[in-house]
Amino acid sequence: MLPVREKVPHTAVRILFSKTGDLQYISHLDLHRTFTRMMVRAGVPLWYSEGFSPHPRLAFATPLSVGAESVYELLDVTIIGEPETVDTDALRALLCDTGIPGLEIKDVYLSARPFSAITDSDYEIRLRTADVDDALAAQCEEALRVSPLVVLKKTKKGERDVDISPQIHAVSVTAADGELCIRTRLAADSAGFLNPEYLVGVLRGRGLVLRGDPLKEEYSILRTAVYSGGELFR
Amino acid sequence: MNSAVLKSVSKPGRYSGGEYGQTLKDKHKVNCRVAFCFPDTYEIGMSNLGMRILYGVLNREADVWCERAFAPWLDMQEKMREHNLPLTALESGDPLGAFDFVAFTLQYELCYTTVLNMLDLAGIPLLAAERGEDFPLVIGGGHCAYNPEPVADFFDIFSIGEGEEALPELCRLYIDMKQAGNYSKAAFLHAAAKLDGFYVPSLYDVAYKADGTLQSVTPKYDDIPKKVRKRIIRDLDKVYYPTKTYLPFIETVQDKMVLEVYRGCIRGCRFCQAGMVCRPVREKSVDRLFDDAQCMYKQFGYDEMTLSSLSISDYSHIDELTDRFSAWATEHHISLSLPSLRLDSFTRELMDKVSTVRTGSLTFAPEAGTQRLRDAINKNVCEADLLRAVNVAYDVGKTSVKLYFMMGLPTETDEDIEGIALLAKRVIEEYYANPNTDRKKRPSVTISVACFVPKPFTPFQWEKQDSFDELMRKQELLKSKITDRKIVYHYHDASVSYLEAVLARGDRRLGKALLLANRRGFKLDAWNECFDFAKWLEVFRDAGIDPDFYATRGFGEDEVLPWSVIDCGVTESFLRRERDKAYAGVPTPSCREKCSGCGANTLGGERKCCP
Repeated sequence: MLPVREKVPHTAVRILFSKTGDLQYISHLDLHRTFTRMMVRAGVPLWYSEGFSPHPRLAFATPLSVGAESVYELLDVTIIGEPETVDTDALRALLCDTGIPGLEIKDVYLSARPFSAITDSDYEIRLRTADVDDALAAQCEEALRVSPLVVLKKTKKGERDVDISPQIHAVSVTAADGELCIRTRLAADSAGFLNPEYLVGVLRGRGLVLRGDPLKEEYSILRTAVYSGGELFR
Repeated sequence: MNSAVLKSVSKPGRYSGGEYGQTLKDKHKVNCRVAFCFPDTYEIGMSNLGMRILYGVLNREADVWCERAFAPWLDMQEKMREHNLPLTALESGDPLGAFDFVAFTLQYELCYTTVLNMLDLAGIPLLAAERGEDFPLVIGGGHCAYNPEPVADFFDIFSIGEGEEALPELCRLYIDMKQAGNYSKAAFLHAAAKLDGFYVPSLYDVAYKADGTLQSVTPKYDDIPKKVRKRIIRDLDKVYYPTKTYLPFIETVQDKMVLEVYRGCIRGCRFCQAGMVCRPVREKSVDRLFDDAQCMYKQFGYDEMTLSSLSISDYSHIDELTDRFSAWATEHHISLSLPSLRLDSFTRELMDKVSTVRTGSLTFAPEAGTQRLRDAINKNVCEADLLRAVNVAYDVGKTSVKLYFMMGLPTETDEDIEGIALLAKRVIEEYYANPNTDRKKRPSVTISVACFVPKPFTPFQWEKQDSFDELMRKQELLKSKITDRKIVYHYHDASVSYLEAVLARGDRRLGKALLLANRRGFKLDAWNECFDFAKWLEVFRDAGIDPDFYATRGFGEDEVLPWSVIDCGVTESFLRRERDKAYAGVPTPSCREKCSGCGANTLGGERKCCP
């Protein structure tokens, strides 16, 4: 027989964190587990759902693909306590050292804005590739500004051609120190989330970048911010 | 590891390292570097308790740094070969060739090709004889090391038995000889062979008779032991336990806290190698276990804990332990699981305390279909035990039960095979006979039938394995006897069991076949994606080896067995007595009821129930 549980007052707290370095190879599901255990270790008073199999409630804002880093990730975690009495400073102190390289808690606060209000994400894509100069940067920018921009998307239902140009809200490409830097704002709402890997794929497919030795040519993807309409989402 | 490569493979988290709790040291400040290799994927190796323990004990030594390495998955192997990237250890990212020791844990025979594949990926010569002073020493341990002969050509040293004290001793010998300036590979191997529990295969000569059986295994020098006795830990309450260790980011096969409760087994099932080679029974105290559990919870933040041992309900303080744990576990939202529950110990009280039995289905292992055969293999459970256990499950609303069996056991007849189907049918009937069950639901019984593999150091070590055709016939026979659709029947691939028997019972001549298998690209044979029986048969043929000689030929009791150089504590005369009792259909009482004189008490230690 299951014990009868009292209703425990609980509040969702928002956590702003960065996920960088080797953590980029950890999937969304794995991050969920890693975060839960880290908070248990830190002594965060997690609230457990009521029911047959109680579990902590964690909700991440918008997915980050494996192989992408981020300095702007958002998570809502539900902890025990009324909204008026939740001490976010104390929580921030508990989480100041996660013990996990690449996982840094930047802020803890209360927020009523739902993640469904998120519309875009900013990314910085850096490509260490051959023959980087301003002309190549211009060519790449042009290739990403084309409309329609058709790519082959792999989905659960199979592969199909999709025009991703409506999901690219802004893009610029510059060259510096032998690197191409793409700054772009991509759709991140539930209807039209675009994985930044597709931009790299377009440039690679056009033969503009990453043509040489794959051990010498690398790229990195960094999410820098999340927006709702034109405004930074908190 | 290069990011472009990591981004191009599946599950890159297997290779990126950086886990919470890993041990980092300055490689210039240590005197001995060990690459502890698990010859299977990251997800399997990271779940292995032995590896966690030995990683911990070695890293407790200030001047030793132990790191981890795993077998890359197929896509990664392809990339590594394409770009000439050597196999590296996770912590430092250094290639295995840069280490003093490359240590493999040998958990199952099908990993042998993966061991060779990992050495090859690291650019280390496979044959011990071809590795000069500049290459690491390759050492092996784990259950398969109880018959190390099939892989003897590839290893410099085997560690026999429990390694917590032995491995640091080996490292110390190495460091001392290096610092004293009297180190050479030959001198070190000779000295290592004189330490307790280490077998150096190159220091033994093997001679064969004309009929292909062994003539003798003899040490090359007078000061090398004729037999290598396994090491045990005397007092489990005092031994190191990895309460603080690495925690994987990615999901592994056993992603929970594991608490080892005791070693050994009081039962003595006659087919079971672990039950023989892990003797004598030594337990941890409830206090130590509770301390370790709390420490692990603080360290990891896991929400699941499993109590590990060969037969958990035989722990002498099981009630006290589960009482203390269940209150603590509930308070911290930890679910507690007890694997390896014997069906004769399965009670309602125990079930209420253990959460994994509340969810999921229940698994029991009657192992054989008739009482006669269960007595012959000394399983010591009866049909009434099983029916009582399933009724406990039905009482609380369970509808599905899993049952494990073996086929091809010594003395087995068709009646025993048919008995499996009958027993499954009785379990279904019991559902309808139980007044507490929901008649609108349909019960189901899944029977999983493995093929018997005669293993070294068991009373059945001399037995022959059923031929492939005979196993297939028995599998078909059982299939034809199952008419109820509420019974789901799974059986193991008989060809895998056959190969296991060859590799488990083989001698040094198998090295030739394994070398050839490696040249033909064999690896990860425990995975369906890789295992190819037809190619294995070609390898044996081309190496001039008759695999039937090892698997389906019974070994004579007067034969010198390939593993006769190893002493696991249990005497050969005990194994013979047990074999005779199997044929007479006589069970042996558990160690707790009566000592059967197996000989393991001579190993010493704080024994729980033997004299």
